[in-house]
Amino acid sequence: MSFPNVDFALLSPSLIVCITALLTMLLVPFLGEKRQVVVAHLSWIGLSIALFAVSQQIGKNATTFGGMFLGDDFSQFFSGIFIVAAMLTIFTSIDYLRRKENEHGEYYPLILFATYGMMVMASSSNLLVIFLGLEIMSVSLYVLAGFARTELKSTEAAIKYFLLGAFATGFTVFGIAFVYGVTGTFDVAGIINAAFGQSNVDTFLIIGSALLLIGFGFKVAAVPFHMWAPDAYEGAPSPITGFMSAGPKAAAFAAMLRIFSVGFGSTVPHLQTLFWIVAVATMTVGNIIALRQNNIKRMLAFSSIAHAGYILIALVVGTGEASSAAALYLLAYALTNLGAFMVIALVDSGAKHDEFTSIDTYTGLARKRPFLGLALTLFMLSLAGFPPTAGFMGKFVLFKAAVSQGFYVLIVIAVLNSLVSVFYYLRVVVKMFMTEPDGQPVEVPAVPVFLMVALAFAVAAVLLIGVYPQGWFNFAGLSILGAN
Amino acid sequence: MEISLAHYLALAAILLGIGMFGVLTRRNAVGILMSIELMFNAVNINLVAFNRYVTPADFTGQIFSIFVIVVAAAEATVGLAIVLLIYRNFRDIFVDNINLMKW
Amino acid sequence: MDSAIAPYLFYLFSFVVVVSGLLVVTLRDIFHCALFLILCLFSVAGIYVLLGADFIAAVQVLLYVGAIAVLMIFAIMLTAKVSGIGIKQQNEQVPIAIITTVAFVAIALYGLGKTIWNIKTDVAIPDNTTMAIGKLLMTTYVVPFEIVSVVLLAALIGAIVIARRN
Repeated sequence: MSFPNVDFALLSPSLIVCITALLTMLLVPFLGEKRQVVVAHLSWIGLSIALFAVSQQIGKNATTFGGMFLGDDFSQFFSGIFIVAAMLTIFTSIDYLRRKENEHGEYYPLILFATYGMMVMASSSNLLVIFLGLEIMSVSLYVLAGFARTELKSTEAAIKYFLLGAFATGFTVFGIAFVYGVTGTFDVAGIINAAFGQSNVDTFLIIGSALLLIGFGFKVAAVPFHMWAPDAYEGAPSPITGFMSAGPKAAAFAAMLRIFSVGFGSTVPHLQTLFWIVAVATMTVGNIIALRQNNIKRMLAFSSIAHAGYILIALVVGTGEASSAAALYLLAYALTNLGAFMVIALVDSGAKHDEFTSIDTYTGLARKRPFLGLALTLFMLSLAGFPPTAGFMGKFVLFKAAVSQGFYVLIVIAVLNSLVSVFYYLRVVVKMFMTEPDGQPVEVPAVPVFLMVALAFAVAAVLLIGVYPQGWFNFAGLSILGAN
Repeated sequence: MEISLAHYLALAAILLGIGMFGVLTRRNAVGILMSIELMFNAVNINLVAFNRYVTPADFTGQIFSIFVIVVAAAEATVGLAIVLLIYRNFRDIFVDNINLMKW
Repeated sequence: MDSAIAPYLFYLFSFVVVVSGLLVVTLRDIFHCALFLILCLFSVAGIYVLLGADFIAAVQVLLYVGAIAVLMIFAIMLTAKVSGIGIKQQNEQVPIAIITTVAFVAIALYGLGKTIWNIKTDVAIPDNTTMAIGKLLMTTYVVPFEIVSVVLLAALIGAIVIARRN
């Protein structure tokens, strides 16, 4: 019994995020009400240092703390997604909070804590550590969803998100307990070893895996555990909605891929069938309900449910190629959705309350503000999966990985679903370009400089992944530790 | 009369069922939170029982149950803060009355 | 623990856990529910003692009974105007909830009967668990031990942010 060896370089990205969160949090009370924005700037500076640290760790594929903490390329890739998502959210929030007169500095440390939780989730194959990461992320997000404390909708979003999230946590830990009871360990590799040798897998391992699926299904808003998502997405402050759709979803999928896809999923019977059903139900329900939404945040909530359905295909397929494809898909989705929410947050911040989130608000936007209109059009096209955008590339590699394993029916359903989704994405585009603004035109604020930088970055990244995917295809063979 | 692992697991399953029932039927947000706590307790009974019978030499299950208790405390703190916030905003803590947006 | 009375204690504690648990989810007065929750949590601590987990039992009493249950009562007191008696405490989902719950418990019990557990009986059960757990938390489990402090910190800040007045 001795203290394990510690590789601080491997820990550095998540440590930097955590330390930045602690320091900025301590700074908040010492800054006056007028200078809370300093916290935002320190936060993104800390995040960019963490991003640099991530880039230094690529290719190392090492573990530390006796295997409790993994630094493989899979976790570095996902850490990159989380950090970029947090940075873009912070850039979106600076002006949004000022205009909504809700400038409280604690907002930024909470985003950093959530980011830290996600990084922990993606960097371990120990169910205990994954669970704790999940909790850091969830607790921070419950608060962020209710951050607009005087807005009734935000409060409602927080309580619904919290109650269903805590309920889901109950299922997650129950599933972990069952898996532990059968195998005697919390480590995914150990679970595989224990489950693999047996001729017939125990019923409790199946029940445990199914309970884990329910728990994570809540987090990624898979049908039938999606009820919280529309309300939480609609009610939360717009930048947080964007963050919720990008970061936590990617984190939950990172953990699921590690647990099921490269983990013990293949040793558990019936699990693949279960994933198949959930994937098809999720994409179909999400797309069909999205068709009749009039609030753009609510529409994107259902769109986010549908995208979770597509990504679940990777868990059905269960190969390493599919996991890497899902990672690329999640990157593309995160950048696209965060970009879309930058425009949504800007339009939303034109009103003190949330009057400006209906799709009708966007009538004629592209004529008055061509840059914003074109950017939002690009993001909508990417979400719908048109080339040459990141969304297309993500779908392409993911579907290719599924077809190569012979999942033709699943892919036909997914492609039909993508066609349906084109209608509601293009509805926004049509509103912006075609329709004349009638009645009171909506006053969209000028684009502040930080948002401009972030928006330009998102546009460039979405196009770059779409036009020049080779640079990203190298990631297709992401090495994942903790597997067999 | 010997008490085996199955006895403890059955107790945990029943307690989890009670908690689930509470979450599904309670209207009061604090009531839902209490039901969720019952679910966490069911999990902990499972973990400690597995620890006693499956891995008696190391304390894996017991250590996990400590973390579950800590996490339950953290969630309860945030949850009750949110409950106070809705009480302040809505003057109501019955979740089915808080429905500006439809579920 | 005298092994002759252990089974009786198990049934006693289980009975209290189940009955008080049922009262927690069905009683009309939410304050009474909180009191039965405390009773239920105490009995669960008794179950831990039967399982030889004395440290967990102590943590259960200190944290659950001492902190969480008291927190619940605080919240009930602060929202007393709306949580009093005479208000319907249950929604219309009771029949569906009964079906779901019974089905779930039935599946779990069925699986219980079918699973062959990998039970180790030849290993001695340690008498005192506190020291061993303390050592493990500082060595093998030092990563989760540090991470859980961030969980608490995030919850602390979050609760303050949400609950403070403007």
